[in-house]
Amino acid sequence: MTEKFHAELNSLKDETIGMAQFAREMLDDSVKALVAQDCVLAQSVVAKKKRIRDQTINLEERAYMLIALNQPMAKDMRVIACILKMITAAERIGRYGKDIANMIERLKDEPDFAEPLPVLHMAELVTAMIDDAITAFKRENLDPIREFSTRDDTVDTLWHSIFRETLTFMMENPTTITRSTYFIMVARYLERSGDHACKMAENIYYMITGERMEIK
Amino acid sequence: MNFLQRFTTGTSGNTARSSLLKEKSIKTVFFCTAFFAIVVIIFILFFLFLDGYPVFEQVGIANFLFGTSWTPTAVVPAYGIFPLIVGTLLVTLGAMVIAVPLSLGCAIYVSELASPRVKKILKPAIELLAGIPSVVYGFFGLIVLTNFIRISCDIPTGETWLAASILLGVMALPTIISVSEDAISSVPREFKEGSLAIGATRWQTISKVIVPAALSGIAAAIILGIGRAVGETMAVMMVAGNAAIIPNPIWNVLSPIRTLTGTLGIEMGEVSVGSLHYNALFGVAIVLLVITLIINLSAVAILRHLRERGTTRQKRTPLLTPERKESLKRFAEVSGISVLMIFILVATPWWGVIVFLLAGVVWYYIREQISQKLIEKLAFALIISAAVIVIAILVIILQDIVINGLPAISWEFLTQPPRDLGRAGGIFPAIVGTLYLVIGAIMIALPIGVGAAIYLVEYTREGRITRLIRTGVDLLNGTPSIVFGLFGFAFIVLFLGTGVSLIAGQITLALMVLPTIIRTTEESLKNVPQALREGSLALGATKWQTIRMVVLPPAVPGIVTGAILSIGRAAGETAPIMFTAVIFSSRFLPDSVFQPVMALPYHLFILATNIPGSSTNKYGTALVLLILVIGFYSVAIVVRNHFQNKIRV
Amino acid sequence: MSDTPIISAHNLNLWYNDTHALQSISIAIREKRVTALIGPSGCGKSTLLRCFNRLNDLIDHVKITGEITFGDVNIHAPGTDVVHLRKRIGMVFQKPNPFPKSIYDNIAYGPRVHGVKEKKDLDRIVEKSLRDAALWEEVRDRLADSALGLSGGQQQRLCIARTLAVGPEVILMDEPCSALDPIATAKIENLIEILKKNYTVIIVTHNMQQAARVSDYTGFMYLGKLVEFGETRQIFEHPSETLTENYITGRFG
Repeated sequence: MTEKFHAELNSLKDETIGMAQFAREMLDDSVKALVAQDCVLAQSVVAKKKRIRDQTINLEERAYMLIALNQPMAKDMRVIACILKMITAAERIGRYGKDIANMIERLKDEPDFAEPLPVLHMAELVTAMIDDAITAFKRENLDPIREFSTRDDTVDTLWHSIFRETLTFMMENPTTITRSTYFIMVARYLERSGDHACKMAENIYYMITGERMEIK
Repeated sequence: MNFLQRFTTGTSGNTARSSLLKEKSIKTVFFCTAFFAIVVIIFILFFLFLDGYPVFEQVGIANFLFGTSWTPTAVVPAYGIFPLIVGTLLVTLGAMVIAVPLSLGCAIYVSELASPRVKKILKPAIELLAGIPSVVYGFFGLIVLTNFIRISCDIPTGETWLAASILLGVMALPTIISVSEDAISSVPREFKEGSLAIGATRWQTISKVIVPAALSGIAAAIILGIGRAVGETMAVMMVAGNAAIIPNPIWNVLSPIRTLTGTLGIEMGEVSVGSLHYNALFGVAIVLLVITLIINLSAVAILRHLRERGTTRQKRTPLLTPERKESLKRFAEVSGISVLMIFILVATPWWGVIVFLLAGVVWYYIREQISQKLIEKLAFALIISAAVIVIAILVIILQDIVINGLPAISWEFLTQPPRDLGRAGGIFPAIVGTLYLVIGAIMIALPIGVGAAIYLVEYTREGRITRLIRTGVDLLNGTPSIVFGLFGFAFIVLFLGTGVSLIAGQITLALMVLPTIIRTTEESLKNVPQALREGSLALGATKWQTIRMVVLPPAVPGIVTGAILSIGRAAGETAPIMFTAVIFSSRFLPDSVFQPVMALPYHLFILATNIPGSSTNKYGTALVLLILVIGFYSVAIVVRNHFQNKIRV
Repeated sequence: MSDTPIISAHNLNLWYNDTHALQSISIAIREKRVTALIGPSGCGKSTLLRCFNRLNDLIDHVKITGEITFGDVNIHAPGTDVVHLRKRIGMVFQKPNPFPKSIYDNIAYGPRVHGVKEKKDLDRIVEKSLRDAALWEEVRDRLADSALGLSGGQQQRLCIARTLAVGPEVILMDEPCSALDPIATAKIENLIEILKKNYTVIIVTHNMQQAARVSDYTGFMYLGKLVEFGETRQIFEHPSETLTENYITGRFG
């Protein structure tokens, strides 16, 4: 393989990391905006959606070019496969961030209620998982993602508990149904983002070891 | 990079024009050498024809070719050369009967059966033996072979057809063996491996796969051998008896016989210029040329046929359909074998016939029963014995000359002129004369030959004209050396009036080796890959720069080898100098090129045939000549092997 | 350095005997860019390449009509100094063809032929050429050894260095990597990336990926005609001609 190929591959990898971090920020900012009811922050997250879409297209094109022109083998091929999957996952995470940010506009007129803490806590767990996936990808090291199964279980448990509690709360406080439903959707989006982080981890595992594993 | 800038902005107009002029003048120089070489070749042919035509006119072509009486010095002269043609044919046939089986066996032995160590000694040894001068063979034949035949067959003299055939067969051996061995070795290894992998024995592989695959090369070798035999003069003159008759009965191998070449050698010195006898001799030379041409052309045709058969490319519908070919082949086999058998039957004593018949009957019946392994053992035994016989022959000849010649070698022998008609004294003037002749010849032939070859290969395109030129060169390449002698005598000595002189001999020898030098130089130049020329021209080099710096350097070893081989050949040849340059006894060295010289081959010839009682000096002369010629050949072989190895690395 | 043409052909036709090998070729090669010529075997791409340095002159029975201009000069004009033309337009061949001389003498051959005699000048040129061809480090200690002892890839870089030594403006490459293994090929492709900063490169290749990797412009030829010519990106992503598309997707050739 030529130097040009390896230079381009490394550049693509770096930019994928950048994109994943960008998506993680979008998610994190959107939950912060939700809790603080910060419309300005929410707007900025929504505005970032175009950028993440452009990044998706750009990085995918470059990955396809690398494959078409160079017929990469072994590790190189797995790196590119992982990059493509990470791009997809990152875009989805970014879009969830955008979706959450969109809700804040509609929520500001609804009656408030306390305890958004579980959501905040869930967001912290999920963003930590995304960060660790990015680190594993960057360093090509399995350690950050070893506990993902457990951590994903924690996130799932949290999701179920938020769901039940909010349902109960809705039944007792019918005026908060709109806000509570949105609340449930936020939790759902966070849980899905956690799943996408797990997908990233599965692909990173494949990139490093060449074997498949599943995080249930 | 100031310098590079200056360098890359190109040549100015003036220098471009002057270098173009230089290129054109160099091309003209080469053209002149090529032109000269071609003119010479055409002129030789023309001159021979001119001086030979009157005999066809006066005697009539039919009478000349088929007249059975050659008596030019009779009161009523007769110029029928049919006995001479028959003589040439019979002697050649006999030589091939002896040479072909032995050569094939030896060639198979060297290429397939010999261990690498034996091969390393044997191959160069055989190549060296190709260099033994014919006069030395003739000398050996005269002294040893004819006596042997005389005694064992109980006849008055041993100078017979048999002696001539044996000698010629032995002389052709190295040529046929070398070329056949090359052909057999070039058969791709995959053929052999494929056959052995099926479970065939080595002998089956050799006889059914390798030899058929090498057939074109073997055919070429045999044709070369035939050419050598047809063109041989000195040895035949010395042992054949030289009676211009057709043996009666025709298979009487103990009859004396005379060939076309022998006639020229014997009668050229005594003919009066312009007489019909003189013209008749030229007629003989023309017939020899025609025979050479026929041999060359049939060689080309056979080779092309064999090569096409090998590649199964059928361009036009073949003249012979498969059935016709089969029946023709069978007919040829049957008639060939029966002729051969009759020959052998009548030539060998009666007990030999019985043994032979018995062997044939036994073989026919048990042929199916014997295992392949046994056949292989028998075949290998025959082959090894062939090789042993060949080596034995050559060892016998060499040791005879060496052992008998060594006592004659002394400081006096090498540095003193001869006394008492050569019976005493030394051969110094002969040694010097030979060197003068050879150096002069190569100084004339080398520049012209190399220049002509360079022109033909580098400056012309392959076309009809170059092919015609090549045919002419090949024709002269195969022409018997006596024909050159005749031309030299008639044109240079007589017509130009130089008399028998050093310069006449040098020119004649130069003409003789010119075609060889052109051919070997051409081959060497063609071996340089075209990619190198393109690479050089693509860098902006001119044609002459490319030739001088890229094409010639790798070709030089081949050119040098060819030159040295030519020198060796020229040193050993007698026929071209017999009537053009040499005298027998001279106490002093020549003062100028217009004086005659002594030469080793001629000295040996006269001592052997005309001077009784000079035994030691004869052998001494033979030994010195042998060492000289073999020395040249060894140097050529060493040079060639050295550079072949260098290129391989 | 802008995309100006440095070599152009106008209506170029070439016949080998009666075969019409090049049919009305018009093409403009941009300066200091890499132009690739692709196409199936026998389409004429090597023939076209060899027209630019008039190497087709060496072949018998060749007839050429039309014009090829180098700079602003018609290279077929009578009185053109072909020797000088070949100095300005160099060529690298498919099979490496080093001379049977030392490495030093191979490189120095070109300069010597064009009049450079001083040893220190030759030394400088040899080193610079070998550096530019990315071969210096591998051979600096054995310049006197025979060039035939180098590996195939090294020999090809030697031939490139030999071409650079005469200081051309254009380098013609006729399938330079065909005879090389993948690693040697990668080295040559790296080299082309670097060379294009200072030289115009025209490369004939039957390896489409290679053409797409290294070139800025690509011409697709078929049966002697220039079917399509344009920026490499466009030719390989959405060619205008169906024939081009079929070739690139492997439907024939």
